[in-house]
Amino acid sequence: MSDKKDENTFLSNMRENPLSAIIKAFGHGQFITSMRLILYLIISCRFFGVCTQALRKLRFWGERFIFNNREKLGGKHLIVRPIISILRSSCVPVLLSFLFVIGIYWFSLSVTFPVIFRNIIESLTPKQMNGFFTLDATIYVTLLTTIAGIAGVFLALYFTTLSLVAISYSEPHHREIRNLIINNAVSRGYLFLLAHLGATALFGLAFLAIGLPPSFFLMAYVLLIATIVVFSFFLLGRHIFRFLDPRELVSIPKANFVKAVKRATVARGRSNQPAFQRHFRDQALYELHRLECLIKFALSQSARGEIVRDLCIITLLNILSRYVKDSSKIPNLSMWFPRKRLFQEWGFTSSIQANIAMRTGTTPQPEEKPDYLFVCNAISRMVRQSLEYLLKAQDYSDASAILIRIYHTMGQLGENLAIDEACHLLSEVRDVLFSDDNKMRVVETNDQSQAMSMASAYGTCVLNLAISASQNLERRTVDEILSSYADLRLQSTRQLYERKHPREVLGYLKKFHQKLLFERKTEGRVLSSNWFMKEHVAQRYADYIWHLSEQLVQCVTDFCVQPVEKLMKTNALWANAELLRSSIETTKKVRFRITALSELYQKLVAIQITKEDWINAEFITLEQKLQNVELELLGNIANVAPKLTLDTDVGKAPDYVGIFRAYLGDALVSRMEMQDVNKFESLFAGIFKTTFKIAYRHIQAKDEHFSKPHMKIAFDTIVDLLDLSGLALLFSELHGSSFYEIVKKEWDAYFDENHAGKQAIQFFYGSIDMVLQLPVFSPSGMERSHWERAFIHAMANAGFDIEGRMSHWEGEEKARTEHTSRIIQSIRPHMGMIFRRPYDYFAAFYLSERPEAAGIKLPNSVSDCKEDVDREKRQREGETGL
Amino acid sequence: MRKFSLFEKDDLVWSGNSVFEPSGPFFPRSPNLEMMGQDAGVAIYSQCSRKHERGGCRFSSVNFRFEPENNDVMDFFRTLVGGQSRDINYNIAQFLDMIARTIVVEDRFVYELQLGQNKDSQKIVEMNFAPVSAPGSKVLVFGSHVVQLLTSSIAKKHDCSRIRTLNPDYTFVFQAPSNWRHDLRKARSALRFFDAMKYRLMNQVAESMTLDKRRLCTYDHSSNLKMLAKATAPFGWLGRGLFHGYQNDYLGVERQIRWNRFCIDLRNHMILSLKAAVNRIASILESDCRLIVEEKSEYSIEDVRKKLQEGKTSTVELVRLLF
Repeated sequence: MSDKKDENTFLSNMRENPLSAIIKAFGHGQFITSMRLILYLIISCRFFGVCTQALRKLRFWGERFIFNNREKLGGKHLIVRPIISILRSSCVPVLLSFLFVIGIYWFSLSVTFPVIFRNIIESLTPKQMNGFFTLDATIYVTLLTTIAGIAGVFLALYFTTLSLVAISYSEPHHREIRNLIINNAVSRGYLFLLAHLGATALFGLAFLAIGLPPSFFLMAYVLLIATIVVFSFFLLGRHIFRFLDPRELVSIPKANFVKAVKRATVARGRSNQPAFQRHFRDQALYELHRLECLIKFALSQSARGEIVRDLCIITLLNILSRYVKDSSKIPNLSMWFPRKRLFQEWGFTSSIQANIAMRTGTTPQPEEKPDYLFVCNAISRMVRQSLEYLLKAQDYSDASAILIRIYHTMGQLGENLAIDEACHLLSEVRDVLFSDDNKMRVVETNDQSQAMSMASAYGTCVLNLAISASQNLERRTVDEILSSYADLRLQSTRQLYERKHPREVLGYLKKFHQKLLFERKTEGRVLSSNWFMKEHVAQRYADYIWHLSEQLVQCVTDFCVQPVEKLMKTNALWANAELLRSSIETTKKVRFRITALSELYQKLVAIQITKEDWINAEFITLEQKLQNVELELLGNIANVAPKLTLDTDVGKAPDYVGIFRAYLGDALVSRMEMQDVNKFESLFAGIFKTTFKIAYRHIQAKDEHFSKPHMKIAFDTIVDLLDLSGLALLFSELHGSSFYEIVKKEWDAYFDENHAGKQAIQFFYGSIDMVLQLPVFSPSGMERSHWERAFIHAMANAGFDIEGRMSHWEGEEKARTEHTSRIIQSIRPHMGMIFRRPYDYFAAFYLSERPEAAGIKLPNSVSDCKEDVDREKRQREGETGL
Repeated sequence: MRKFSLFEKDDLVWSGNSVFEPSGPFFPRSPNLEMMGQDAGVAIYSQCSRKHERGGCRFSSVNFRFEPENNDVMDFFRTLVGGQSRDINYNIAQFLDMIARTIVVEDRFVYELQLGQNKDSQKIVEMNFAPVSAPGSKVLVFGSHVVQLLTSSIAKKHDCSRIRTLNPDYTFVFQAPSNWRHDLRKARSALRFFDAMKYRLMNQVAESMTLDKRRLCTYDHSSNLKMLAKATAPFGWLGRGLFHGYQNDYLGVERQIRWNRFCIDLRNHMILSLKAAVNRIASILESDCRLIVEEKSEYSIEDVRKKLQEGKTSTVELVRLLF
């Protein structure tokens, strides 16, 4: 009864002063009660709190002490800090060695083996060996002294090796690199082992001196460690000498950086602890600083190209792509992202800022916003520096290798939907390559092929980015996107982060999740329906898709059109041609991607219910923008293409002229199809000039290599031009547009200037005669049939029956579509084909009517074509009685 | 003590203390003041939108009618309800709306009828129109024509020689529905606590502005809002946009629906009390007259809730339907 009463008293005391209550209980000899009190203390969660509080207090006092004394100590911290670090690093092995020696003595003096073991050991040992295991004190002392000496010698050797390596990093700004070498894990381990060996041997001697007997176990242990120390020195030496190459050192900061990022992610559970997040960020920034030091060092070396390339290619861009992969798992508001102060608009500012602004009658104060690009900023700065150095030093092959690596990185960034990061990196590269002093032009004068390679890699960066980003989104089905609503219902956000949503979407979803948590807290459960959450997710994704499409179009303008404009002002020819080619490819293919994205957008929009909150996305405007960009680039091509024919080196460079002619031809046909005369003249002039330059190069210049395939190229180019002119004629007849006028003007000018008109017409007729009718025989033949189909499509749109008049023979004549033009009337499409080619029409109605053509026999197909039209004319006139 | 003349001075005089002070459309003031210094219940009630200012509890969506029409009862009733408009529905809506504000503040509203005498020894009927917490505050004093009407009929019933009594003779009690009372009490206490917190926060912000302490500016009072939202969840008070940033649209509409249901329940309960009052007046005047109430609204709350759950109508359209 009295026990019970006591316990109650202790419990009541416990609430007031827990520690004294426990001590009192111990004092009274009530062991069980005191244990219960301790348990009570732990269970009531005070114990942990009290301990942490006490520790924090201690830390605070310590820091205050340091802070207060910093002023007093002044410059002495340079002396104090090494002393503290020496004490800290030496205390641990010394203490361990001391404890270890005590342990061994305690073990050998107080723990006795069971009799049975001793009997077994005795029975196994030969009788002659009985006297051998007694230790001689003198030899024991000598052995330990020698080993302590060995430890000292190896310590000296270790530092000699270290200083040999560190001397190569002797400049003051190499401090971080020296730290890297000294603090690497293998060296530290070895140093620890050496210190431990020396200390153990010395403590063994000391224990002998105070009268304890020599220990067999201690001796065996010391010998073992000494052997390890001696043998591992070879490995250590090799390891340290490898540090002479900075590339070997890179792996340390890289691994540390990746570790810091991983620790900051949601998976590690520290995401809502700002102090930890800030610490991880500081660690990561420090590692980036070390990398920058290494790169600076590498740039100051003689064999810098290779080293810098390796550092840049393997490490920096690798770090960036790995970081981007993991960074989507870091919460948006985490302190991992450093804050920068920005002026926000009224709509975006926080309520408290708005409140203050309204009360004070001013605009909102700047707010602290997370800077998501801080890693990308640091890395792209380093890449820029390296690239600048390489270009300056004319290491063009290394520079282009870096560009190709950047091209690959773009794909990885796009894959992780890190568009902002990609844009930032690209803008840095653009500023270097297409700066005001026109580095690309310099590169081209020195090394044409590297300039082309660099232009190619740079030009396709945006394409790679766009393709991988859109593929990432297209791969997700609508159901898959919508299914992430289930994560919103959960209390923890971990699932949400593991879905790899883009950062913008993630920001919104996190906010929405917080609202749902509010709902759960206030209402007891989540009331919001699934449809609402699904719609929310769909809306966020739709917004993101629209935003992404806009960004991609902007990228095309920023990173393709602007550099092209800059290059056009210089005399760079081949780099410009390559950049133009890749830019046009990018523009064309980005348009396809945007179409695909708009399809996904439409699918997401299909489930909308609250129409008010959805943005009005007009993908058509984006496509029109891209069309305009393409047209602008084509205009540049029309200027560049004729220049390229002057010094074509067949086989060395790609067939730019062929590619550009195809681009121009496609553009001309699509212009005619859309009845848009804008820029038609300049484009046609471009293709006209290019074609004739090629043709003359193959015909007039006495080319030694002039052989059959080249002759064919000349004929093909001419037939292409005739075909386009014929199409202009046909389209103008069909729509009543003015394309033919423009074409005719160009041809007239040609014949006016050219005195050998007759030969030219003979050549044109010859090429028409020689052309192979089947489309499969040449790429340009394929192109021509493609253009022809565009015309047939236009006819179908104009209301003509393109399926043919099979029924004519069956006696059921279909109603003919009337047209004012006799040429159009004479065309009888059959199963989507026409019997005469467009160049036949051009030859029949333009070339044959030229005065130069008098007396030259028309090719068969042309005369047939002419007859067709005449027959049609006669028939119609007969019908109408004219 | 502030005085307000709500109705015509000659006909009716209304007075009350600050607790009883009505707020909202009749006495518009800045929203901050209303939230900060004023009573919690008033803040809750003034949730109602301006579109429904004639009756936050949708009083305007019902039609009041007397059957059979008895002029005596109707005159008395008109006087009781007051108001300038000829439209009886409008006047009743105004009258009930004023009472509803008080009920949200005080749970109960007692309407006492006393027979008395004024300074000039004129016979009058005094009506105590006051919440329980403010006893004795004379609110309505009827004009002489009502007195004549009432005294004649009451004198008939009572002893004619004793005109003035100290105890109330007739008491009409308007109350909130019993299922809401507990929740209302909880919400009021939470709101008072929140007001105090907000006041402190504003002080802190002001202080931080003067001292340029950045950290204080980002003070987060979401836990207080959470507490307030939890307390007001049963009747779905939207907090005049207090929770706007913290709750999603779905919950917003859901709470709006709940708030509308609360208002309608309160209205129905009050209309029951009003019907009882009319019956008692009719019995005083010894005539047969009842108050008939007809619902004009075209939708039911449950329909809206069903639509919300099905997810075929946008939340914005649903809110439009609610108002």
